[in-house]
Amino acid sequence: MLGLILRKIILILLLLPLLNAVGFYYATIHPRLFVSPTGDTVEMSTSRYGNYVRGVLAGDLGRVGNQSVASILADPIKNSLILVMTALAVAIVFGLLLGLLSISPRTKRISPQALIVLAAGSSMPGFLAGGMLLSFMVYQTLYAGNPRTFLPLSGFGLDEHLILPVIVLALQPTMYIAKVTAGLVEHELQQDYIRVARSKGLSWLQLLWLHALPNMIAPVLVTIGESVRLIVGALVIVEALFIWPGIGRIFLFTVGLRLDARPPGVYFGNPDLLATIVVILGAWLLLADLIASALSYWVDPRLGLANEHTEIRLA
Amino acid sequence: MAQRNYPLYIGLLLTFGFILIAIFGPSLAPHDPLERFNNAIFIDDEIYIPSVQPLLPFTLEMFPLGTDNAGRDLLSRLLWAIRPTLLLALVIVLVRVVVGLILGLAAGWYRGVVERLVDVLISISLSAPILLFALAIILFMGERTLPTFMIALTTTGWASTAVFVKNRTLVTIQAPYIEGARAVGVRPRRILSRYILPQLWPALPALIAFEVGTAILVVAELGFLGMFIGDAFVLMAADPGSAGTIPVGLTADLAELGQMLSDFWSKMIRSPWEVVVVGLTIFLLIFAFNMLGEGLRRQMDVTRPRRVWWRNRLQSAQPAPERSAAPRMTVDR
Repeated sequence: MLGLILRKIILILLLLPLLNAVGFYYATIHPRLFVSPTGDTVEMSTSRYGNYVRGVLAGDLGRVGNQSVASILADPIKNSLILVMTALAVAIVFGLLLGLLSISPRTKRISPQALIVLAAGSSMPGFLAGGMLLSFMVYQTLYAGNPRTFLPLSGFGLDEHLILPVIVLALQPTMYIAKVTAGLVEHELQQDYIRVARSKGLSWLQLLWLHALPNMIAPVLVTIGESVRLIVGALVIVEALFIWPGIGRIFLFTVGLRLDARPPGVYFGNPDLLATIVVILGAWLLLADLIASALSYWVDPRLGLANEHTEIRLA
Repeated sequence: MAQRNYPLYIGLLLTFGFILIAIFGPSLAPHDPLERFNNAIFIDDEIYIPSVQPLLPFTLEMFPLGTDNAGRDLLSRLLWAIRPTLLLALVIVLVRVVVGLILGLAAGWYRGVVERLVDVLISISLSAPILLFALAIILFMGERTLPTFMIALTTTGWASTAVFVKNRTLVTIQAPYIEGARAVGVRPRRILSRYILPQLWPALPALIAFEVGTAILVVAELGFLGMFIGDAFVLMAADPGSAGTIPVGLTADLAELGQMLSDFWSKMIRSPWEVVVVGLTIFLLIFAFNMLGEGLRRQMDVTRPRRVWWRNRLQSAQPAPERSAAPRMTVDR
């Protein structure tokens, strides 16, 4: 187990500088940069990246105009983390609940209704749900003559502003966790030891909590780690949709993509900024993976089971 | 007690519906999907100019679903849109599955360097968010053509197939009959083609169906972000502040589901029903393929109790009671 964690940490330490370099390089040779308003082309020399690295080692993350990258990113990181953590908590709670509820106690299989709900939920990606929700609310206000909206459509706040983005962000991971949990419970309930436990006369809840659940904690933890990947992947779009001042929105500005057709701003194509953002997003993903796999190996050290579970999850 | 395979029925029904639309939809469309209706339409003392003010659904019989934000008939566009989306997704999935099959087999079959290499490749491509990766590649290549999209969507997308194939191969390879084949002196290539590949075929339809769903999703996501194959034009609209017109957004030309989601902000204000209709269609399309995959998976799962209607017919035609008793043994509960 220690070897595994060590290997992952080494991989992280190798991958993050690589990501940093790729992000920096990407921003410098980004093809749209060549039609920049000033008309100058950015030279692709290693000395610039060298300067950047020297600056980073000295504690300076670089600057955009006269603002330093650290001051630009400080608040967005906090805002994004709030969103990610809330969505993750919601996804874990509701995902596990939904997964356990979708097993029918009578047949010990996923009930057909639950199956359709789960399939429907995982076919509804966050951006689609968010876009349709927003459009429907706009339709209500502009065309159906109902000027008040039930929830705020966009903006930042730690109150009801959080509800819509979290719903949209958590929808897909919730369904994913629920689907995997349901599949695992179903698989576990077909085992012989469950039959023995049932013949002892244990109740449904005892069966589930004391016998089936301990056997599936490890794969569920891995799944939760994967749902972090889903959330961070969707973060960019959700922040753009709901105008949430987070890191994903700045990422889109840096790459030069805006949902509204405005010209790219000052952040566009800034190598220092993009390199830092890429490292931060990558670090979140890799850390989530590290924590999830470390926990799951701690819970269930039998490595041989891993293959079996991945196959269940995929099929 | 046998269960009916409802997911398969629903999935087949929806998928066939969409395939029918893909084949016959364009000839059923009432209007040209690219035609912008610039002329004023006078009905009951009301003036409608679709290209200036998009029509709401059900206002005119001419446009059952209304018009989109550039004044084009939404129903016609929707009927035209299924075909390119499905084709694009299918092509992407075929490449993904073939690459995943080859790499997965290699990782399962060879020991040592090849296995390690493929494992590293798999873990790298599984850890990269597929959308961000595709975005980066398309922006990097700077052109929006089919080859660019193929490269962007297949460089990482093959990994889930490869994991599946690899695990299946690792399980199969331990079977006694493989050992027997080796002992008899069957060559590796023949073992692969004769004993291991046939074990994979039953799982492949479900895998492909799931992958089609994922591919449609990514294509739609890219379209939403303004990345699509084809041209776009700047849509001008009347400025409420002055007498002139101002650009509202960059609207896509072709009727394709992903492109119809692009330019979200102007659509949300000018024609929110378009986003809802197109979004529902994409949802149904992905749902159809997910259900089909789930149903196929259940159909191939031999541990699952099922009702096989034709087996009873066969029995009544030619009685063979012992053979039909065997599968039911697994169903005791």
